[in-house]
Amino acid sequence: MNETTHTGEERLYSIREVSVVLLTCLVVTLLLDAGGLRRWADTLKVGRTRDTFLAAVDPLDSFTSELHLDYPRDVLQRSFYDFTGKEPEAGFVEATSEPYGEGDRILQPGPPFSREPAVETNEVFSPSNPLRVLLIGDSMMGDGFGTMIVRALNDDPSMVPDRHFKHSSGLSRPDFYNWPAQVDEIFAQNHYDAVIVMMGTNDAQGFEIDGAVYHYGDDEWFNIYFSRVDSFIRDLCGHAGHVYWIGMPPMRSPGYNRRMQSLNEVFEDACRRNPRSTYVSTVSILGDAESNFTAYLSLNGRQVGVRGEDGIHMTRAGGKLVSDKVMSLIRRDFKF
Amino acid sequence: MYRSDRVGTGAWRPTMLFPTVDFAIFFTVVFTVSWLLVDNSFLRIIPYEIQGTVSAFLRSRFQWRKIFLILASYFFYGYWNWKFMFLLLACSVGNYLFGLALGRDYPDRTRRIILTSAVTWNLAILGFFKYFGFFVSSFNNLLTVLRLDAHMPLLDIILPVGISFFTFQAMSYVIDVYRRDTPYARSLLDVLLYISFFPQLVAGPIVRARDFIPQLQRDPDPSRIAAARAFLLIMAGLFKKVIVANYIATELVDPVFEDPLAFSSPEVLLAVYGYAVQIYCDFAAYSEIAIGVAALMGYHYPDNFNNPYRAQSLRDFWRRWHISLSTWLRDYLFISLGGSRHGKWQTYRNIAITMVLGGLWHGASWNFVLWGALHGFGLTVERIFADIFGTRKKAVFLQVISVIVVFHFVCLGWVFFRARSFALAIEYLRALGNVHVASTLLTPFVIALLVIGIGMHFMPPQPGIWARRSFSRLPALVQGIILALLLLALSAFGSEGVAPFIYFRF
Repeated sequence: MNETTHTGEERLYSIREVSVVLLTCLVVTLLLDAGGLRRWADTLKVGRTRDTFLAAVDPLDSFTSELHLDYPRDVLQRSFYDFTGKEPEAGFVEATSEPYGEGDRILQPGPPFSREPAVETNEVFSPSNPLRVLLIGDSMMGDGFGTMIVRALNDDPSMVPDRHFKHSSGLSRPDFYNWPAQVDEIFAQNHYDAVIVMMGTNDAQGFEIDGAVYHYGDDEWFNIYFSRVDSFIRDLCGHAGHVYWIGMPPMRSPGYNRRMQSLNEVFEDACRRNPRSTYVSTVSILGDAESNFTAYLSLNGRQVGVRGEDGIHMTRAGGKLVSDKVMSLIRRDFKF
Repeated sequence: MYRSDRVGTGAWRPTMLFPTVDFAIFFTVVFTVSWLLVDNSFLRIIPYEIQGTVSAFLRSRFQWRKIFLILASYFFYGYWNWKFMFLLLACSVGNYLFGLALGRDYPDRTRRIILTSAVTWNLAILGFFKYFGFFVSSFNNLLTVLRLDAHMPLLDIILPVGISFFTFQAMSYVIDVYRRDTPYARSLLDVLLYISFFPQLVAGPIVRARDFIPQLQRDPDPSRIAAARAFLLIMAGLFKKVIVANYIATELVDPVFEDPLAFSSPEVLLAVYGYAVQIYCDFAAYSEIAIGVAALMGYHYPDNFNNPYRAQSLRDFWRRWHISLSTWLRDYLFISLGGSRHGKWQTYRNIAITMVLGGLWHGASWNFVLWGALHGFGLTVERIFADIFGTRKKAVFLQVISVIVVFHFVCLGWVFFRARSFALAIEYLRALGNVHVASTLLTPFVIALLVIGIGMHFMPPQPGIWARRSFSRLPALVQGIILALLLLALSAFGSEGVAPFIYFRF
């Protein structure tokens, strides 16, 4: 007999008893994990729903923190990390509404870098001295493109990839995941010669700074977002020899596609200001003859699905097309 | 555990996942209101003068509950993409009308035509949304191979979440009515709720009409709720999903399956075991939470898994794995093909066809066809052996060997299931020979997850039964505190972000 099978000898509950159990569970959970609820409310899209939930859970979170009711959860989490040898990610730990502090609100980004060579190093990379490549991004770096670029880098004995991707992340909502903090943490542990970035799918949304809400599409939103991308690329260039920023491909939903193409302009502009960065457009690679979305492309006479079922992500075949392009750029820019 | 994908893309958002605050809020509201409706409380807020009219219109106060649960279920489905609520509605209304027609006293030939139309209706929905691109691109590529310069146009179609589950449920209704295994539903509400009820809507279990519709036609009893079973199942499901499935996927399975040639042979081998654990914990978790949630709403769903990796034969495995699908395939496909009534060779053929189509049910891709064919081949060989040598009770030693052999055969199938293409599966199997690569992923934590994931299949049922009985005897307040502490532990141990359940894509 399956241990989950109803035995027939088991005591059945009245709705009153079930309600008491669930209500008790709810109250105790809220008291012991109000911080979790607060973090959840934080991740909601900026708007009235988020404001309502935050207004409801903020006082509860403050109250339970005052009483140190969050202590058991912290102890449990620390014990878990000790047991598993895992570390909490800086991107989550240091989530904040302003990843670059005051600089976040620079409405006009700083001057471009002075002209520098595209890749500073004259180092020759080989299997004994491989090029270390960091790959970062949102879910686009997860499947499809992420898989195929990792395979391509692994297949070349002169290159070593290290991939870090986080679903639902980006530069719009550092209060959910703080990429600049995460990147600092990554570079504190390892050295990399090149960085490949693909993020932006989650970024066409409003964000809040010091109570002021910036809606996607407003000029101020674009200015702040541009300054974040620009600062992020400068950060990465400060750590590694060269940055490749992969643009968004055409998307199935026309409205979403317009938003993604507007972000591509930001990425391209920011890369243009940073000579040690290269913007890699994927529109011509994954779009149809008119640069519009297409789920299938004809490759060597065969119809191949290049985009995922959601009309956003890439299949491995699609990822292979983009990774081939990126690999050719890396081989052009570095000496092997 | 608490973070959902709410900050995710503006164009696409996931279905409401069970282990999220979103679902907790949704369920709290639905649970409260639906039980209030049972004791007629809701009618009290309606002006006294029209209460009688409203009651008469609804015939029974329990219709209120059904209407509310239908609306809640459509909200649950529309949370992913509201446009597909109309597809769900069209599927349900179509099957309701076919059920009405099948319930009439028509001649057999007419009833067969109605049934054929009903099955065609459901398969057309499933085929268009799920298989159109697969078949057209395969057909076009065949034309290319044959050097014929003609192509069928491809359409860009969004795959609706859970379409395989709700169309199969709908087909079980019309076929049961045709076979007179269940009476046709007079009320549209019953069919709407049967097909859309949120616990099982997007990832099963595939509940039979004859099991569920009768439950909708009687009063849910607020004094007889199997809550201890529900709480245990929900907690077990959350543990399996949030801890075992999620961590083993990110720490071992995903990296190895993405690029197996970069990992050592022990890692490649253990990643297959890891995927076996992941897919079981992921899917069983969804089923268990769904069964638990339904139980708290006053409905009984049958079990969907029963320790599948302790099976001693493939036949035994399919009696333990995704039981609601395997029994569906047996009752509606294998038996419809003739079952084992027409001799050995037809039986073998029917097994093979059933398993290949069962594989295709999981996804529009050749790797699923291969996976189904592999199981069909295994089941057929097993049947041939049984026909030749008969079945007899095995010695304990042979039972252990059988469990190990069946588990590894199933794992071989999972390689094809997970690898996405034949070439990648072969590459994966080749990577088993990577003896000169250093292991980096086999941490004590990963090994512990594997041991837990496989070991749970060999646990005797008694501790679980004892725990449930002991739990149910505790005061309600203590029960609530224990559940809260378990949730707290899951929240503290769980990784940030919730990966969607694997079976959502089917």
